[in-house]
Amino acid sequence: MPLYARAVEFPIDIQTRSAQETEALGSELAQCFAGGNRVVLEGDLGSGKTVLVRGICRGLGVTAEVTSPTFTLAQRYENGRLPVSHLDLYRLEAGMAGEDPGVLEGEFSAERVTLIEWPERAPIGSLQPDYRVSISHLGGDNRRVVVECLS
Amino acid sequence: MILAIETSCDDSCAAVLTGTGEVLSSVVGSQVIHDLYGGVVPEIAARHHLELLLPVVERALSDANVELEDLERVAVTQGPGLVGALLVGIATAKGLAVGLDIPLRAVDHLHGHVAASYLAGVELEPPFLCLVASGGHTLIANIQEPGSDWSIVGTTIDDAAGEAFDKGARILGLGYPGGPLVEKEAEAGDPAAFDFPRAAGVPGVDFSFAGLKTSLLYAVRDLGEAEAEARRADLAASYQAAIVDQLVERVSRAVETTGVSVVAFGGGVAANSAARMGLTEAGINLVVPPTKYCTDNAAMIGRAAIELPDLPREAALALDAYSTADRSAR
Repeated sequence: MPLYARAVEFPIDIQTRSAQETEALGSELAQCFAGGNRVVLEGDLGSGKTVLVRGICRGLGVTAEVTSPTFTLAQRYENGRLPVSHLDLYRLEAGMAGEDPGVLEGEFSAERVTLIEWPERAPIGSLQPDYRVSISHLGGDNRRVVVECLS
Repeated sequence: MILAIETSCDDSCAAVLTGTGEVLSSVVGSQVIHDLYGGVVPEIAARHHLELLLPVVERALSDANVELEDLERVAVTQGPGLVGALLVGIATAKGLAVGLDIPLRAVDHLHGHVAASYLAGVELEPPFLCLVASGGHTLIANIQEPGSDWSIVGTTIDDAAGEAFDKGARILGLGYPGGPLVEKEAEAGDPAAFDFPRAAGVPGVDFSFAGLKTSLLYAVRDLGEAEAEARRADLAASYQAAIVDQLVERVSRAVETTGVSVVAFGGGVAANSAARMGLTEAGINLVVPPTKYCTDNAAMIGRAAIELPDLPREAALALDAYSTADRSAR
C-alpha cells in the first residue's frame, strides 16, 4: 500500500533493496510535502540521496531529467505540482567555502519544496528543516531510509 | 564589438569579441581577485560574483583596449546554472545595455560550450557533434546548421563526468580539483586492475556516473584503508578508464547513429589527456579548443551570441534566469 493511502506516521524506518525502490519511496514521500517545506537529506557519498530526490520530484509531477546539482549548488524544477529546489551543498567545504549566502536565498521561498543534500555545510545558519531523511548503506544495493518529521 | 558576461557557476567571467567572433579579451574572476585583495586571497571571495563582476568587466575592456562607448551589444548567460549567480550577470548586462542604449542577447550556457568549438583555431563547419563534459554538465550536442540550430542527443541521467572525477578523487583521498589529481595518480596504475561499471544498462547515448562512484566507494571499503592506499594508482587508473570508456562508447554510438563524424570536445574534462587519447584512438575525428575555452569562460558566450538575434527592448528588460536544461523543450 502506498504511504499516502493511509495516515503517515513518522518516523518512517524502511529498507529498500534497489535504486528503483529508493526512488519509488521518494515518490510516495512527496505526497506528504507542502509548499515551504524544507527537507534535509543525510547520508554518505553514493548512498542514494539524489536517487531519492529524483523520486520526490517525480512524485511532485516533475518530468525533467533530475541530475546532481553538486556543481551548480542548486537546481530548480518548475513544472510540477509544486516548484522544487534541489540543493547540494557538498562543495561548500574545502576550496569552495566562499559561497555568498544571498545567492541561495531564492531557493527557500514560501511556495517551494526545498530539498537539501549536505545540509551541515549550509552557509545560512540554521535551516530549520521540516523533515530529515537519513540514508545508510546496508551493503550491495540495500539501503536503510529513516524519515523524521521535525515540525 | 560585443561584451559577454558569464556567471552561471563559480567564476565571474567577461570577454570582448569583435562582431565577427574574434576574441579580443577573456577574463575570469580568479584573475582579478589578486588585484582586489592585494595578494592574500580570502576563500570567501571565490564565488562573490557581486563583488567580482564589475572589476572583471573592467579588466576585459582594458585587456581588449576597448572603451565602454565602443560596445555595440551585450551578451549574457541566461541558464542553466545557479539562479542567484545568473541573476548577478543578467542584472549587470541589463544595466550596461540600458545605460549604453545598446541591444542585449541571451545565451544558453550549453550553447556557449558548443560555440567554444569555433575557438579551437581550426576550420570547423556544421554538421558536427560536440561532447560537453564538465563538473556540472555531460552531454552530446548535434550541430546541424551554422547558427543556433543544435540539439542535445544524449545527456547524463545523474552525475556529470567532471563530478565523477571530483568525487572519485575525494573517495581516494586525493583532494580537489579531482580531474588533474586522478589523472596524475592514474599514470602509475593499471587501468584493468579493477572492473568498474560503464553504465551498460543505460541505453542510447545517455550517460550515468552515479553507479561508478558507488562502486569505487565499495572497492575502497572492501580493500581496507591500508590496501586501498597501497593500490591507489590502480584504483585511480581503473576508475578513470571507466569514465573515459563511457565517454568514448557514447560518442562512438552518437557518430554511428547520426552519421556525423567530426566531434568537438568541450568542458573541463577535455583537459584530461586520457579522455582525448581514448576518443582519438577510437577513430573519432576530434576538435579540442584550448583549455581556457573549455572551462567556463565568457568568450564562448560571446561567440554563441554572434549566432543569435538581439532581444527586443521589452524582452531584454524582462530577461529572467533559468536553472536547468530542459531537453524536451529543445
